[in-house]
Amino acid sequence: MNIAGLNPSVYYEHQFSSEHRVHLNASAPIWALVTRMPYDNTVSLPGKSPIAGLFSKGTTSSFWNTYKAFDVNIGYMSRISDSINAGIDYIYQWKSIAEPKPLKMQNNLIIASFLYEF
Amino acid sequence: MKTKIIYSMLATMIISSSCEQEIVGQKIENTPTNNYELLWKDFSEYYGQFEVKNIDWDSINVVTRPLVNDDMNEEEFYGIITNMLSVLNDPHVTLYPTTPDLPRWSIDLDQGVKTIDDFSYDLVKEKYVKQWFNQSGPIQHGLLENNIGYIHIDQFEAGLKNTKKIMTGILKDLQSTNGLVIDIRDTPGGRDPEAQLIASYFTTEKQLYMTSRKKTGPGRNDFSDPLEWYINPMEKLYKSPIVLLTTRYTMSGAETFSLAMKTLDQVVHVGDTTGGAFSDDIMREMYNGWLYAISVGDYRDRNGISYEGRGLPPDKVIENTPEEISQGTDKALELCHSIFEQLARTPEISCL
Repeated sequence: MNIAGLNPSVYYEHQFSSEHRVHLNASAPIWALVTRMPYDNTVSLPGKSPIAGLFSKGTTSSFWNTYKAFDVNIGYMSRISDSINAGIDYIYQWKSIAEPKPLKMQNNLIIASFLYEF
Repeated sequence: MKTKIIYSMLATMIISSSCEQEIVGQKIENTPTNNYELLWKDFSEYYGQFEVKNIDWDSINVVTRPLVNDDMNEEEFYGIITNMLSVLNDPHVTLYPTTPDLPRWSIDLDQGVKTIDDFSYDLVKEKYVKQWFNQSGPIQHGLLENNIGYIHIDQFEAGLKNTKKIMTGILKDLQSTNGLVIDIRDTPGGRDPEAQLIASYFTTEKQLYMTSRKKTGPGRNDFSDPLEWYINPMEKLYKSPIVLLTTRYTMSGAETFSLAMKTLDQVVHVGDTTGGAFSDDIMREMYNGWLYAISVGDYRDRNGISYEGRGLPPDKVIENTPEEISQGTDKALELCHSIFEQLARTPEISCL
């Protein structure tokens, strides 16, 4: 599956002190070009390779009625010393694509990061 | 503060996980009845040949569903569903059980194995091909006796660019031959666009050879509009007579290739009827992990006739026996020489 679209997003960051800050990022698409395998789940078009056939046959322009999604990212970053930062991010992604067959998916991700500034 | 933030992140995770059923759907138990329901429903919604084969899938369910219960073992379940699938008479429809004692099943397999006993490519290589130009890669070519060219195609899966390169080389090597044998007697298939491209090297005009339509929804009549497949003349062209050799093991993409070749006047189709599995197929999975393949299309020749389940009959039927092959004789290939001689004497005969 390939998705290319317009995703307005909001970003908020709050710094509690010079050592601690949190951020929140959320986005949802208003329009997207969604490339999916067709209902029959095969691609075979005259004179076309499988990849070219997939993009040619399986790409649809989708608005909120057929493609719903949102991503939320909540993160916390702590400055441990002048050169060391450590943080943790939680990312939640949800998608619902109505055509050619309803598909729903969700992802839960936790990313721990450790940054050393040279 | 740090603790509060981490707790709130964990709470969000737990909430989203606990709502999984509402968000992504219900989990279904792995039982024979649930597996049967899934299998039957998948075929009901995806199989593309009920109409052309005149099969009432609902009535098959009426007969089969009462035989399935949750107390049965895997072997009993295997027996019931393979019986049901055999009604489709479709070599593409295949069951891949994960239970070690149960063999892969398809209508054309014997205990999970396909044995080709009326053709031996080794015999062709050792006895009949006198000179090889290319003996490796997906398409091999050489010379038989009497300056007859020979092409053997493993599968139509070389990729479009590579196929063009290969065909350009083949035509350069075989252009001056008196005739050409294209041997697809053990070709299990491949991609239709590659088959279309190869056949295009033998036509002088654009010709419709096939239509295909695929399922677009769960309804029995939910099909795409028919897609038309044409062969188009290429820059380089082979013009001498051609014999196309097939067997029951010529299938899928090799059969759509045969459809294309049979539209050409200079082609004589010799051998045995092809396998009868033209359509693309998809792989699905039961809750128990068993996989199964479903044909999703309805492929027809340019006159609207479907050969699914029947196969394409040759112009001249010649079947090698296993004994002939084991004794070192390929009767079908040897007959090609007399066909070329006959065509040389009476070139107006386009099809024997």
